[in-house]
Amino acid sequence: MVSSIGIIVLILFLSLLFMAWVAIEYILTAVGLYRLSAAHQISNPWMSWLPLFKDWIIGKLAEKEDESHGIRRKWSMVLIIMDVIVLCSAIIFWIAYVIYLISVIGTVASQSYSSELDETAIVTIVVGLILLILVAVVMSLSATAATTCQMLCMYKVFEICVSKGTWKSWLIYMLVPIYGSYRLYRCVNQWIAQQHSSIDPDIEYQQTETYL
Amino acid sequence: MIAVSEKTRGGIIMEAAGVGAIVVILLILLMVIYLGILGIAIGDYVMQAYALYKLAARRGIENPWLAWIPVAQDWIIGALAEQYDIRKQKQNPWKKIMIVMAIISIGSAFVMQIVSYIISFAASAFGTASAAISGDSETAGIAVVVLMFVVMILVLCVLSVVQMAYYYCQTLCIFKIFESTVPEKALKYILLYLLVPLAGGICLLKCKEKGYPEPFCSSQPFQSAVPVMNVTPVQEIEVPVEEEMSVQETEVPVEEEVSVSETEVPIKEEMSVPEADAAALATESQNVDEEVSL
Repeated sequence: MVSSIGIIVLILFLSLLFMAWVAIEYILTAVGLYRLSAAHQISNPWMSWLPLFKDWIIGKLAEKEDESHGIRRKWSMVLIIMDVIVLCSAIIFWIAYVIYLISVIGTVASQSYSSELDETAIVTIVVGLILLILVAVVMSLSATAATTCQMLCMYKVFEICVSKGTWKSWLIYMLVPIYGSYRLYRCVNQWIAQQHSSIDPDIEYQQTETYL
Repeated sequence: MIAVSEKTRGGIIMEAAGVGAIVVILLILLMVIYLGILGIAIGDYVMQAYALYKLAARRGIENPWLAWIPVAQDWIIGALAEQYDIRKQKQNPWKKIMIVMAIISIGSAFVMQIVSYIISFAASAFGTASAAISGDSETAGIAVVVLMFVVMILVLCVLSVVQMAYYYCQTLCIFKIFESTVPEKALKYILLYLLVPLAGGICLLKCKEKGYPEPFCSSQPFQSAVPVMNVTPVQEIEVPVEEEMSVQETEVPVEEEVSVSETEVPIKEEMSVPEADAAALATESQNVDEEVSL
């Protein structure tokens, strides 16, 4: 009895720890993106706090970086469309999976009571399985495409705020769960501080020039 | 009775022949699928290698033939991406990153196999030894299984992280190649490259003759000459304070400056355009100084 309570407490503690982990990571990324998008005067930077709309902000930042090199690309639209496709295909897949599972259980149960083999039921099960596999393939392909686009956009975001060793910061963000988000947050803060320090002397210079 | 048994035997033979035919058909089908996949993989590899070879040769990258060798191909991909970054005035050592990642990801697969054998051997030896000491074989067996499971999961985690890093870097470098050749279609091409078999090779083949044909070093000296031309002469000219003028009078004698400007005139014809402009501005500033001093 005591050991089972201990296991439950341990599971609860671990799940809480995991939730805190995810929350910290989410907040750090959101703050970083919010500050960077606000600095780049992107409309509605608060969207970086919302799960799906965050990708819109990432896309807009990637567009800014591309524009600085004379390239025009609609990253924000691409990311949003990809996310919607992934979400829809995932919903369809899970609904289809549940329906298929129920139908298979029902067919097996009905077959166990009857002595004859129902061919229609078998054909239905096979066709259902093929359809399920097709939906799963679409889901995985769209997920790969979405991940690739997000990855490329995040590299461009790091290109904005990191001048040297962009690849290092980007890889850490992609691979290391909580430190990656902290790195993004720190890079953004450093970039903003650098921008302020580089702008202020110019302003002073212009002021002195006009006074002279 | 004999006739019935013969019928049964014939039926069994026919049934066995039918099953054998189905098995043969299935085997042929599997072989066709396998050969098809192999053909697609070889075709894709050849197309990619040829496209990368042409692209590397066109852009003046050393040893473009490396594009035909499996792991060394990543060096060429990294070199092309690095060159594109240099044009964008960014420094990322993609060549080194790609080759190191490729070696690690391929090597880690072999290491994984060896490590798994060593772990299983060590765990079984440990289990046997602990069972012999304690006499409780069940506990020792559970301990062995848990130990193997934990170590295998750790090794798998490291391996998957390395593989992911390699995949990310390769995808990014290929995207950079597409961006440097067909920037308007780069996104479409990278998605086709990743998702559709054979499309990667075809997309790279389409790009092999595109991108910057001019030598990219030509823009570097001009960019470095610009601030020299704009900043220094203007600062020399725009000094209206009289104290600084007197300093210039004392420090630089007028006759020496004139003689220097006279000697510099014939050299000016041989100079490049920005240097000549800078020299002209410098002589202008010297003339201004002379006027002020007079």
